[in-house]
Amino acid sequence: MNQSTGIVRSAVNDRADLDDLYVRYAPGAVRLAALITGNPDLAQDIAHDAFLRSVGRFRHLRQPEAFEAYLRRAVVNACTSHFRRRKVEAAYARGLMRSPAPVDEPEHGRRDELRNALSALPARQRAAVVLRYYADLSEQQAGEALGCSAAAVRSMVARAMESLRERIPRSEDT
Amino acid sequence: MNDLERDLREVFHEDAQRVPAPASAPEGLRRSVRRRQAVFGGAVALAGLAIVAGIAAAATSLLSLQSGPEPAVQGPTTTGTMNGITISYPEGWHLIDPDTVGLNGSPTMGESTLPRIVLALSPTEAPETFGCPGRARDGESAPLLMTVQEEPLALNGSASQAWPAELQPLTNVSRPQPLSSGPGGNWRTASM
Repeated sequence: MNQSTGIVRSAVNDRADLDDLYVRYAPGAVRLAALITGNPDLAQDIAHDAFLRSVGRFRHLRQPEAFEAYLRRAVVNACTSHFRRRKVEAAYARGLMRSPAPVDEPEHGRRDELRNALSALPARQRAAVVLRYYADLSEQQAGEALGCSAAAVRSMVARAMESLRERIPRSEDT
Repeated sequence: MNDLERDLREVFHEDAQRVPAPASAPEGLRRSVRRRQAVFGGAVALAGLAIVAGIAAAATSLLSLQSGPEPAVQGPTTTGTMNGITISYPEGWHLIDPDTVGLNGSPTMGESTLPRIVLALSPTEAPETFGCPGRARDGESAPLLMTVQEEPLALNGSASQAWPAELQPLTNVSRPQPLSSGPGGNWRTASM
């Protein structure tokens, strides 16, 4: 992480370095956003915006060496904000019209069940699970990205796993 | 690691592989970053200015409180003498003898050891100022009243100041406030 400090620092003033920085960090940010939102197109927008936000505030960052962590946090915040807005919009839309009953989709195996179950989780729980099992972050690091404590992350992940197990009854833990 | 955790990792990595990652920086990235920096810098500067302005306003208001209120308008004054005290007060106000309106108690209390009021000032005449509430103009009592004590009211504190005393503003609105509003005038004690 420390070696990125120089890149980030010079990137603010140099176009080539800025491009390098984008190519280096944006893909990871897009993947993280895609896994949290489940929407690759939306993930591109969120990651791009989070990158601009992080670089735009670089001069004011207290710890420039933690650029990747700032970017990750910006992505997670943007994702959870998106779901919060969508929840409000959905609630408003429900007031306007009654949505059609969901159509039962055919089973596509355990992984599809898992994907469906993941998409049903609350946004922050899903983000916590992605940060722990995709990004391989510690509870402390995941807490920094989510803006909460390690204990809160542990609790969120535990609740998420419990929900997933309930939704996938065939899952047999070893 | 249990099955669920292993499945989660596999699903995440499988899905991540399918996410199209940007191979190059988009056009206008530099411009967007500059714009963001300008906006953020501007916001920080504005916030800083707001904080400085707030501190300056608070300091100014504190300093003005310390210096005390000044008459809004320097109006015409008149001078009167009562019980040996000569005092300048706003024209149109009334110098009232406390003994005649009963501020010092009944005549039978003439030998009382309580501090004696020497004079009083009011924007209304004595009957309206000290009469029953129903007799006051528009059903209200006089808005302003100043009294001068012959002896201090207390042994210490602000009420213990001996005559001649500097007139000072009172912060409590229920107490007399000679200079804050009304016809105005420069209140000044002249002699005893």
